[in-house]
Amino acid sequence: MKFIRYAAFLLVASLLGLLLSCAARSGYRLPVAHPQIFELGEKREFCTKCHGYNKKPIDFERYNHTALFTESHRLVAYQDEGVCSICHAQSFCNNCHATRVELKPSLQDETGNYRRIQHRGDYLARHRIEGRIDPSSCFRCHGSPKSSKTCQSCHG
Amino acid sequence: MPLQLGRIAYVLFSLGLILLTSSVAPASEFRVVSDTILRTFERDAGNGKKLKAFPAYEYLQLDYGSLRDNGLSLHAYGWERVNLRDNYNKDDSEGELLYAYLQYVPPSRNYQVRAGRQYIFEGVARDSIDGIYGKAFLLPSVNVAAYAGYPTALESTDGLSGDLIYGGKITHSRPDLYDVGISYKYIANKDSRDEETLGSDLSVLFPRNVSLFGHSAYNLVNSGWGEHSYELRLPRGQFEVRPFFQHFRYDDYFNSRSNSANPFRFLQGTGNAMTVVGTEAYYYPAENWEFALRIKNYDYDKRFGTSQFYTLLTIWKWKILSEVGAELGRMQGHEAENRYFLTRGYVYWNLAKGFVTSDVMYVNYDEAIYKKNGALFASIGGGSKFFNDTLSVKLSFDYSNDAYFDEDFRTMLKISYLLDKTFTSRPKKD
Repeated sequence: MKFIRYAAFLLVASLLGLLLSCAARSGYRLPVAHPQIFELGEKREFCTKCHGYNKKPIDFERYNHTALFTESHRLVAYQDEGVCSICHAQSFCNNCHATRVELKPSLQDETGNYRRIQHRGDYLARHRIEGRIDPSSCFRCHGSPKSSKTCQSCHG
Repeated sequence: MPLQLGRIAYVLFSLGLILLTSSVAPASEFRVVSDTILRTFERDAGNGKKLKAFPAYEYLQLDYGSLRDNGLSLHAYGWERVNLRDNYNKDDSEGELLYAYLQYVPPSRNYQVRAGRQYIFEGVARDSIDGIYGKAFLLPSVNVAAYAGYPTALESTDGLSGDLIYGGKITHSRPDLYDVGISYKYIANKDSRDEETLGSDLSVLFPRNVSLFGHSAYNLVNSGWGEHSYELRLPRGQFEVRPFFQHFRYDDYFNSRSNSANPFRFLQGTGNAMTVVGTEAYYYPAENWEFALRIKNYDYDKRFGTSQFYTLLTIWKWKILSEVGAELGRMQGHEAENRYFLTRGYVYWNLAKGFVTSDVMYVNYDEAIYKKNGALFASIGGGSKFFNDTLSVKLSFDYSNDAYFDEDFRTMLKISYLLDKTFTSRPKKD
């Protein structure tokens, strides 16, 4: 019964949202895609370089790609994934966040050394230590039956 | 498992659908991004023999429709691996369709709908689904997202019959003040409730540009908090300090049901909890210099004593995309088996028609792993772009000597191709 209740609630909420959205004409809406700018290229970028430090309509400062951004972007991404998707297609996120990928992210972009991508070098050995110290960080990307296939040859 | 016929049919159906409706969009764009990766390496067969491996990967992304503006669009991405003339993983191939969905965004951009296989990032949901997703703005400051479908991660556990995922998120935002979001997710496998989570996301902007970010997740199956993660950002001129706090209760964060996986299943019954307190700190003395520091302290209710992790990173840039970086790290586990030193240096030099790059990493373990006290990894690579940057070729050579790979040499060639065409349906004006 609880299941039906939740499902009904969500269905109604979604339909209501879609209907009312027609009336919600005001307010800033994110663009579908970032304009093509040659300089953006592949490098790690600070959004404030162009967008400045104004907090409206978006607080771009929070999305600055710092040197440790690869490991610590999740809290800002949780706020609104839509901002990330202006510049990054799902395929970019799927390097790590995916149901099933075989090549580790650092191999998919082996020459992208400036990105400080996870699992570089001896990580197969080092993951024994980091997995014991903080298994929560492994679980986020390897926690499902399909995404853990790379773990199963040793862990069963 | 190779791509299934059903999935291919699904993609073709979607492609056909969008071709039929393409006349709606004034300008349709067709984009193909292809990454072909060829790797060579050797593996020890255990009997003194070496096996040569030559796997080839293809990562293919297709996008069609209104890609830069509102309208209808199709997006698909997947990968496939085959082994070429090797005797390692013989007759084995793998692949996965990671997403294939139709998206519609109206001119007002007041809502967005997607149908098909897609990855959902909404609060507590970081899941791939075969289903529908919608996001709508109820009011200028309130938006609601909802999704429902099959959880693709459960495909391998007795098929998809009786499987279900649904959930959503409601967010109230004041861009210069705060964002507050409440999210919900339900996953069932064979009609059995595997996961039900309620989550909250928070960001608050205080005076002097200070901000707070947070995420909490409540496990409705066990009735307990699984995670609290909060981070404060304190920018001050060229400095920024980001202290953070994270708390995970293993019984409520991990899962032992069919939607979990073996390395993590046993953690749920341990009754352990982990608290991580630490900070990141950044210093930018000039536009071309970056210093980053991360300190973490791990504390546990059960098992292990406290552990610490330190990382210091320095980057110097001399061109837009040319930089040198150096990193020092120390994992100071409570037991010797959980301690190591890490040093890493890299250079990335962007040239007129390409780049060269190199990376060297040395890790020293306090307690040997498989009789190895340390690990050395070195990589050198380079690449170039051709035909107005639509074709790029990257080549890299790697060397590893560590607990798992003894004197290991690997080669990798990556060929990336981008096709981007715009089709205009409106007649051109004279």
